[in-house]
Amino acid sequence: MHSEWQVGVDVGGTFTDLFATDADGRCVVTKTPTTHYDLSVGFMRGVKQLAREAGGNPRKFLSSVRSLRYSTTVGTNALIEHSGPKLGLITTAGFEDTIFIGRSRSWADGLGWSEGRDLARIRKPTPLINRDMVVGINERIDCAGRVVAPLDPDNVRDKLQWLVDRGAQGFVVALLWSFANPRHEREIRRIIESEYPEDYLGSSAVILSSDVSPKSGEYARTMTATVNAYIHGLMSDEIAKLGNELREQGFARPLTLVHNTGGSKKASRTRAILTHNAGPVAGLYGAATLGRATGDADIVFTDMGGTSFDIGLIEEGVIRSHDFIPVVDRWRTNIPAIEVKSIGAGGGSIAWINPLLGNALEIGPQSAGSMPGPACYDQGGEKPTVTDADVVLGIYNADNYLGGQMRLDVELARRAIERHVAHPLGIDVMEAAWRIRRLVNARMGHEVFNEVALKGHDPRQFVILACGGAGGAHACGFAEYAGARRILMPPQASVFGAFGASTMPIREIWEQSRALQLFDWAHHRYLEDLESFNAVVRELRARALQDLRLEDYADEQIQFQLELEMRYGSQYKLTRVEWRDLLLGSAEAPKALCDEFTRRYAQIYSPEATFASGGINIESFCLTATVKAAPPSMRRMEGAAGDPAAGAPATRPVYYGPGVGYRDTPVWAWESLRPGRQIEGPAIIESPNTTYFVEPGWRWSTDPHGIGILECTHHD
Amino acid sequence: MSASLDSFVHSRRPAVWALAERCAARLAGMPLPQLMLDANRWASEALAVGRLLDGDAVVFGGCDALAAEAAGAAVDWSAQRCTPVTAWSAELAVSARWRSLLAAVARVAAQRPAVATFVLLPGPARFSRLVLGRADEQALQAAKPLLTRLLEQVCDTRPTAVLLRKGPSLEVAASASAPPDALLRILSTLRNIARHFDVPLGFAVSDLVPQTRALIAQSRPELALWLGESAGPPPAIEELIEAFAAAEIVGLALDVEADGDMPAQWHGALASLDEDRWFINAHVEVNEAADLVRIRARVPKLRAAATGAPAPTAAAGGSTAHTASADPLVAVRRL
Repeated sequence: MHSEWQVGVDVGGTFTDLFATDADGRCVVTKTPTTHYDLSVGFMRGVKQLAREAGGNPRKFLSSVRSLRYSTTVGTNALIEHSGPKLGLITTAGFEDTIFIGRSRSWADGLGWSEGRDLARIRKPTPLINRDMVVGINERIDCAGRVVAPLDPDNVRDKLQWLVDRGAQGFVVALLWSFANPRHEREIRRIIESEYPEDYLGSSAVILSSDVSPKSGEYARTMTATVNAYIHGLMSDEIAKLGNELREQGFARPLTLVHNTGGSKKASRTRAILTHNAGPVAGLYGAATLGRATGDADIVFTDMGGTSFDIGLIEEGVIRSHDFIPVVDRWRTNIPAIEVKSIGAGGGSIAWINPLLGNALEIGPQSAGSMPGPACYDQGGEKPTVTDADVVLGIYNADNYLGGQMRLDVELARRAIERHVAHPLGIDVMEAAWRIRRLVNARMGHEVFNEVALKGHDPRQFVILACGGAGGAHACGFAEYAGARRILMPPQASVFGAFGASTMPIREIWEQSRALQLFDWAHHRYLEDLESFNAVVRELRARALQDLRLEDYADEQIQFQLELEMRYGSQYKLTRVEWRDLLLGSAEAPKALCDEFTRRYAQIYSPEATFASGGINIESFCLTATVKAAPPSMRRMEGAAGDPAAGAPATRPVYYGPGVGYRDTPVWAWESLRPGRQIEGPAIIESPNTTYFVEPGWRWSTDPHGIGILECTHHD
Repeated sequence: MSASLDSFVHSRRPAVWALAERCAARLAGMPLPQLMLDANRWASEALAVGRLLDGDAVVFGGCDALAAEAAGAAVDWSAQRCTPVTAWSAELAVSARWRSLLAAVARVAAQRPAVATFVLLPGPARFSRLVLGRADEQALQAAKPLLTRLLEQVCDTRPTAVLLRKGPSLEVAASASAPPDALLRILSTLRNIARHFDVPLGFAVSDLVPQTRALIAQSRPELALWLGESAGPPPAIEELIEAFAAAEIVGLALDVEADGDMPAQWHGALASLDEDRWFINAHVEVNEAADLVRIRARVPKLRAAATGAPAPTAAAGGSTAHTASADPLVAVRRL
C-alpha cells in the first residue's frame, strides 16, 4: 500500500463513520456503532475496518495516512454528563451572579420546542460552576478600555485562596469589558501562576475570557470561557490517549480536530469548545464540495443519522449562516459557529404514544442510540424506532444491513411496534409502521421548509442533499413536505460527516468586538478615522499569522476573509457582512461597506426593512485565516456499458400504506447504477453502507461522479 | 483479544483461576454477604486471594444469588436461598450488593488492567429459575430484559470477559430443561450486547450434560471454560475436546489435586491443537474451610508437570511448616 490517504472520522450519536480517499481518488468507507463508554474503542475499531476495506492491515494503513481529521463528541458528552472538573470563576465584584441570572430566556436554551413551551416544568440547568465557587474582584474597566478602578493584587490573592481552599481544579477569569482591555485578566492569570507555579500540585489551568472570546456581552463571553474550561481537561486526556493509541498503531502525524467554525487544526492547537457539534458542520462543508462538482449553488444539506436530523444551508455556493449565539448543551456562548439546525429525528428515534395529546403518535426526541439500539438490532432494545418501521415495511434488507455486518430481527421489530404503537392505537402493525414513517418524514420536511423559508429563500428553488445512514431511505418522503423537487444522494451519503471532515481546510477564526459608527445619519457622515477600523484588522491578522506560523505554514500560504457584525443603530440583532478588501483603503470605502450591509440586509429581510436613518454600526470584526489548498475534487465514474436499462433486479414486497398495500419493488445494487442509467420509482437501491428508497413519482439517475440525482416526476 | 485475556490464555500453564469469594470474605474477617456491600474491600481481598494462590485471574460473581437479588428476587443470605419474585417488574432492583459488584470490578479493571478479571453471571435458564421459579419460554422472555440490563452494566465495567454459568443450579433444582431455541435467541442478544462493549462473552461450564453440549455446538461461544464435574469422574480429554470444539477459545480445567501422569497427559493431548484456541486452566473453588497453604503448594507442581520441569522443592513451593498457626489462612498471609 503506497497511496497517501486522507481520512475523516465523525462520531455520531449512534454510529462512528470513517471515510478515506487516496491520491488517485479511490474512496473507502465504513461505519461502526459508537461506543459511548469509551469513544476511542469505536474509533480504533473503525480504523481497523477501514484498513481492511483498503486492503491492508491497520499498521500499514495508518503509516500511509497523510491527514486524519476527527470530529468528536467528547466535550459535548462531558457537558451532558456533568463530568467536568470543579472550577472557580473570578469576575468583577458585583457581577458574581451573571451566569446564574443568565440572559432573557436563557433558561430555555438547548431545549426542544415542546420542552421549551412546558413552562410549568422548565428548570434552569444545574450550573457548571457552583455559586460558592464564584468570587468578585475589586476592579473596573469601562467600555472604552480605560481603567476606572485598578486591580488590587492582595484582593486577588485572597479570593484565589478562597477558591483553592474549596477545591478549585481550574480557574475561569471573566471581567467586565475585558475584550476592550484584557490587562486585568492577564494580571490575574500572572498572579495565579506565580502563586501556584506548574511544579506545584495546586497548579491548574487558567482560562481568560479575553483569550477565548474577546467579544461584548458578559454573559455569553463568561459562559464561552466556562464551557471551554469545563471540557478542556477531559478532552485533553481523551485526545492524548487516542493520539497515543494511533501512534502505537503506526500513525506518525498529529491528529487534527474539526471545528464547528468550519475549519480544522491540530488537536494540540484547538480550543475545546470549538469541537462541539463539529460533525454536522463537517457535513455542510462536504456539501459545498459536492455542490461545486454538480454545479448546484443553492443546497439544503440534510443528514439523517441514528439520533438526529441535521439541516444546513448553502446559499449561492457559500456557507453563509452563522448562529450568533450558539447554544452548547444548555449554555449560550458566542463562538462563531456555523449554524446547523438539529432535531431529534433519526433512524433510532423512538416512536411512542403521547397520552397528554390524546394518544397521538410521536417520534423522538428520545433515541435508542447505539445501545440498546432499535429493537431489530437484538441488543435488548424493546421500543420501536424509525429503523424498526423501515424494516417491517420491507425497505431495509434484514439480511444485508450495513453490508452484512448486522442482521436485523424483523420479528423483534414487529413485536415492538405491535406492543407500543399498533395495539394502543387499535391498528395493525403494518399501518403503524407506515404512520411512523409518514410522521417522521413530515416532521423533517417541515423543518427543512422552515429553515429555508425563514432565511428568505424559496425552498422549491433549493436542491436537497440527502446524507446520513437513514437519509437515503427517507429523502423522497421528506422532500415532498419541504416542497423540493430535486435530491442529490452521493455515494458516501452514509458517512458524509466523515467525508466532509476529510475535506476541511486548516482554518481559524479570530474575532474582536470593537464598536465603530460607520454611518452617522444625523450628520450624514461616514467613518473618517479609517485607522480605527484598519488597526483592528491588522491586529487580528498578526495574531492569525503568528498562530499559523507555529503550525509551520508560511505567510504566503494563508488567505484571509473579513466579516463584520453590523447593525442599524438601536437594533439588537446583528447581520454578518463580508468585506473583501480587508482594509478600508480610501475615503469612499466606508460608504461601499455600508452599501454592502444594506444589500445583505435587504436580501434577508426585504428592501423595505432597511432604515439608514438609524445609522449603521460595526460591532465586531471576524477574520478567517485559511491555509490555501487545492479544493477537493470528486472522482468521475465510468459510464454504463451497453443498455442502461438492462439488468433484471431482484424484487421484494414493500408496504405503501393502507390504501395501496404491498407492491413488489425492484431492488438494485448500487454498483450496477453507473452514470447514464435511469430508473423510475418505486425502487430500492442497496449499497454496502446504506439503502436508498426511490418512492413512486421520482426518477433516479446517476451523474458522472456517481451521485444519485432524484427528480420529482409527478405534478401537484 | 485484549491484553489481559491474551495473558490469561497464553502466559502460564495451567492458567489458575479461583472462585474464591468466600475465601476473600474470610481474609476480610467478615461474612461474604457483608463483604459484598463494600466494593473497595471486595476488590482488595479478591486481588489478595489471587496473589496468595499465585493465580492468573480475579473472579467475581461466583454467587448466582447476587444477580437474582439485583433482578428483584428475595435472598436469604444466611441460608443462601433465593425466593422468586411474586410481583414481576421489568425494572432492576439495583441492589446495594449489585452496585458494589460493579464498583469492585470496575476498580480492578481500571487499576490493574494487566490482571484478567472475570465476572460470572447465571445463564438465562438458571437466572429465570432463580428469579421467576421456572424456565419455560414465557419465563425466559420475561427474564430476558433484566438479564440484558445486568449484562450491559457488567460489560460497562470493562472486565476481561463475562462467563455465563452452565450447570446444575445450587439453589434451585432443575425442572424441565429450557427450550434450546429460546435460549439461543437470548444468547444471541447477550452476545450482541457484549460485543458492543468489546467484552468476550462465554460459558463457565460445570457438569457437561447433553443440553449443554448441544448449546455449545449451536451457540459457538467466544470463550468456554470447563470447570470440572461436580460428581463422578471427569470425561476423557478427547471427549472434552469434542464437546467444546465449536467454541472459539477453550480452557479445560485440570483438577488442582490432579497428580501422576494426568497433567502431562492433558498437555500432551492439547499440544497438537491450536494453542491460540486451547489451553489448560486450573479451576479452584476455595471456600471458607479450604487449606490455602496446601492449594498454594499444588500450583507450582501443576505448572512444573505441564512443562516437564522438575517439581519445585518444598521451600520454593511454600510450606506449612514455617508457622505454627492453627489457621492456615494466617499461615498463608505470612508467606
